[in-house]
Amino acid sequence: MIRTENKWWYEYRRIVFTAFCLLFLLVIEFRLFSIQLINRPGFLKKAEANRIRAIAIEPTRGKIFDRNGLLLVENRPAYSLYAHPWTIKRNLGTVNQLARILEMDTLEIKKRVSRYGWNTFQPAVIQRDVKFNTLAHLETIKIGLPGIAFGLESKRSYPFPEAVHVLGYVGEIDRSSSAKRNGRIGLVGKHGLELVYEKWIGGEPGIEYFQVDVSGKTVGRAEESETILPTNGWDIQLNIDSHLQRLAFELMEGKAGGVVAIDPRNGAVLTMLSVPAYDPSIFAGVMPQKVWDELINDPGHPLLNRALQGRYPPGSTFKMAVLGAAIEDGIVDNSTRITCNGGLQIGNRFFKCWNASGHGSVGWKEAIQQSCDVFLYVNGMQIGVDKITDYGFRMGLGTNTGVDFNVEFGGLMPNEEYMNERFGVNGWTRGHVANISIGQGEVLVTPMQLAVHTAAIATGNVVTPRITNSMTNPETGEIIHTPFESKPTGVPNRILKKMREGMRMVVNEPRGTAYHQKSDEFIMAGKTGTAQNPHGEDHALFVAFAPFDDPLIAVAVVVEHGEHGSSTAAPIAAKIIERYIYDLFPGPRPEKRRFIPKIEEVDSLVIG
Amino acid sequence: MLLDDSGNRVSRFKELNVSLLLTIILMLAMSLALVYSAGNAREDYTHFNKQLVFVCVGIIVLFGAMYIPPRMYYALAYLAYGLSILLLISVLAGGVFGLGAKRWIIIGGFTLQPSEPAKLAFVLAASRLLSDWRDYVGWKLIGAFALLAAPITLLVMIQPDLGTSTVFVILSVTLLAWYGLPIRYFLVLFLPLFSMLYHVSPALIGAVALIGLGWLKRTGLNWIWIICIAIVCGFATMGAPIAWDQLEPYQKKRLTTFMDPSADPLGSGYQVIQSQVAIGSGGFAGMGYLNGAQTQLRFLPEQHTDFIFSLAGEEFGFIGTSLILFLYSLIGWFGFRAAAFMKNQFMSLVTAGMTVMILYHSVINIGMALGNLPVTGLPLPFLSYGGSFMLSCLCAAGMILSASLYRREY
Repeated sequence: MIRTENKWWYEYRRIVFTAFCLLFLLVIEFRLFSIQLINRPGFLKKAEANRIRAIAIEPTRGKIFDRNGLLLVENRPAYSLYAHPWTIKRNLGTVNQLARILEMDTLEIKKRVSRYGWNTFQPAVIQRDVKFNTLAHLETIKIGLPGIAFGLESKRSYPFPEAVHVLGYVGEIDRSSSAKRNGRIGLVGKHGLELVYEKWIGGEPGIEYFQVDVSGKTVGRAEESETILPTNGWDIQLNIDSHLQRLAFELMEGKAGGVVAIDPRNGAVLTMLSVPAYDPSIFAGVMPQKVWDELINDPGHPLLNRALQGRYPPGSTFKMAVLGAAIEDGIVDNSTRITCNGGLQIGNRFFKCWNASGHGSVGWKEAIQQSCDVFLYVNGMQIGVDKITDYGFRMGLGTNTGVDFNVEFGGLMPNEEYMNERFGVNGWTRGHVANISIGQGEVLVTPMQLAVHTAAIATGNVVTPRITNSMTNPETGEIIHTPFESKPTGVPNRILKKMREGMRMVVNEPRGTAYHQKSDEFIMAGKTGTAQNPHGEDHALFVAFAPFDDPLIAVAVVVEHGEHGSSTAAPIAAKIIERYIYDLFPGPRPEKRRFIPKIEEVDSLVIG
Repeated sequence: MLLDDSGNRVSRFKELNVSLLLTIILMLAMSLALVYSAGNAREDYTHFNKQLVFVCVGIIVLFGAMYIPPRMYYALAYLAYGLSILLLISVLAGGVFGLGAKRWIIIGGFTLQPSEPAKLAFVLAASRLLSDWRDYVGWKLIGAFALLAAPITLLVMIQPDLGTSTVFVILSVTLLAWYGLPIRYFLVLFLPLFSMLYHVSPALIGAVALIGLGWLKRTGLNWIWIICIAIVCGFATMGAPIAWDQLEPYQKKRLTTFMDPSADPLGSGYQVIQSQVAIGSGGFAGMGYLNGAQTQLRFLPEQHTDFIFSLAGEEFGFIGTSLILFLYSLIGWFGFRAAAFMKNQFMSLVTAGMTVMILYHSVINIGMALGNLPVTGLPLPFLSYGGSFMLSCLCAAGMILSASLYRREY
């Protein structure tokens, strides 16, 4: 077959071929026009994202002082080992070497390096606070380990471990928040005051812009972006008195429980102790999983802040509130007397008084002084669960105290609605109410609530506890005080007086359950409590305030499984109060006791 | 002896296409500047030094190729082709591995990529074959051509170097087209191949296939043939997924990445994204020589070879890239003009083939740098670093220039 279309084609094939090529080149030219001229800003931004690294300049964290200016938390320098994931990904041999030198698991190191992903330039911390020997070793062989770097940073140091639960701890910024905070690599508050006041003590990180090459190596500062200097964190002064805190810590040694002391006039928290405690320094760096597991599986629950999270039945320390409700309701007055025979038959169950031989004829005074349960059973059942719990509620129990802390158990004041919900409308009886009347059963409070409650009895005001006193700007010296707050209980003065009188008699009159804690120097008013619990021996409780006429301190002590409030808890509270009033109270020393009762020989009552 | 149209003796140099020669020299100078910039980025100028040698040797090759008369090329065409086949086989037998494939052999201390001179040899051999068949058009020609094209294409494909093997396909098509093969032959050949893309866009491919078959009917093909072709297309459609499974993982990755670079921002997608960022941030006038951040901080990968266009884009901006495109269009213009005015049909085919080879490489490479075409690894003619390719391109350019020198000779 001979071709026929030749002529036309020979004439025009050059034009067709040339046009074809030019068409392609023209399309490319349009594309270049779009990329280089129209969309340039977007690509410039991407190029900048490639080469410019914003490195956070860590601010200095604020220090924490006690009310006397003693240092509770400070900073100390520490070296951290960083890895650049992007580089490590290409030099996985580094991981094996590091694993050997740091005596860490290879997988663990890989996990840490890739904390922010393998393909990022964001350096990841491998180990904080590297030991000096390790540091020296690494420094000598650093050239053979591409992708690692050291950073000097400040580490938290807690010279006052007695206050761990108050101070809390710091930890690594987690990934989600680090994105928000400009790639910070430092530590942030994770718990306690370190967390609550993070905004103040944390400061604001500065930013320095560096230019890096493709391997992530810094090749100099990025001149076009100006460095932002960090703002250092504010120092914080607490209301906590470290002497008192230490005393409480010593007194509670070997025990479990919580101690809270507040200034009833304004709510300043003088002591907030929870035992057992943990060593705060383990939170300063990267915590090995093993240590963490040990901590959370410890049967003593050392991480639990018992002062705020402990769920304790108030036991007899609840009696003032119940009696107050009964007096306001008109069921109890000065003439009310009930005979205690060591118990009370309610339905088909016999409710015992703690004193099996009976208190005999008991009025409201004796009911508090000797902690007679029968008096409370009878009157509590009469006024009903709603009025009891309402009174407790009004006086600071069973509700968040509003303390400046991140965790707090709100307690439980079981009203009728709650009981109906829990047991069914007909599922609960007067027996439950009787039980609640002596602070057992469903009622749950925290030591902090008990302290606030005691202060409320002492002053008639429910204070909001304040752990912090003020924040100080370390650069300008500007001071911002934490405002104190309180609200009246609304409990009539005559009833408050009766409660106080009952509590005074507990300590200062013979047959009082804490008579052995009587002081010659000042009048302390208190109330013992023994709380049955399903976990073992009874909890021992004691609440107290002093001096009686002009209260300066209110204390609540809970000793888990301490058996008797009077023998275990009361001496601790008494020593704390004594120490505070004699040595630590900043104002003029209060006058000697004005009220001197007749001193009679009494049996040393070791009862709750 | 060279005579002009009136029979007077003239010097050959009057016929020399100086503009084309200058265009190429200018590109070589740009190449040195760009490779130097890439070397500056890693403070390692070995590539630049080698490229300097390649360019010098290449210019000698260029002039040598220019002076060789068409009949010499004609005589050597099949020899060159045979040699290329032998070299390609020796690559497979004892080549050096690189980029997941065997592409290089070492001869006397020099690494050679035989697929580069093979392109030239193929153009020569294919042109000789076509010019020998002169005025014949028919399936016998197609068969003979296929016997020539298939071995060389397959040898490159199984290295595996899919990118380079497409060069042979494109050269085959363009040489046949330049020769004047009617469209119906292309339709018969390429409809089944085209059908393999059915799964990419069923509607488009289906419509094109139907129109193609309609065209074939119009040119007088009988129904039996058309039905046979349709059946072959159908098999191709079904066979495509099987063929896809035969691809090397890196090839699949390149093809899928081309469809969506962001799907693999760290593998081959990373290269494309960095390349786009480099070109885009160049803007109108560029960041300045030795001043492109993407280049100098080495975010741009393969900046002296595959992505040298992106380097130019970043440091010289729209002006630089447009200049490069203009220079390529000049090569196209002069190349096809020389091919069209060539009286010797063999040399006309060679010139057209060489021009197509250069332009195809540049379009594919730039398309890749812009993220519009898959990352095939085809370098940029006259600009990319690389000895084999540089010498091949300059040899090709020499042949195009030779066409203008000897355009009156048969």
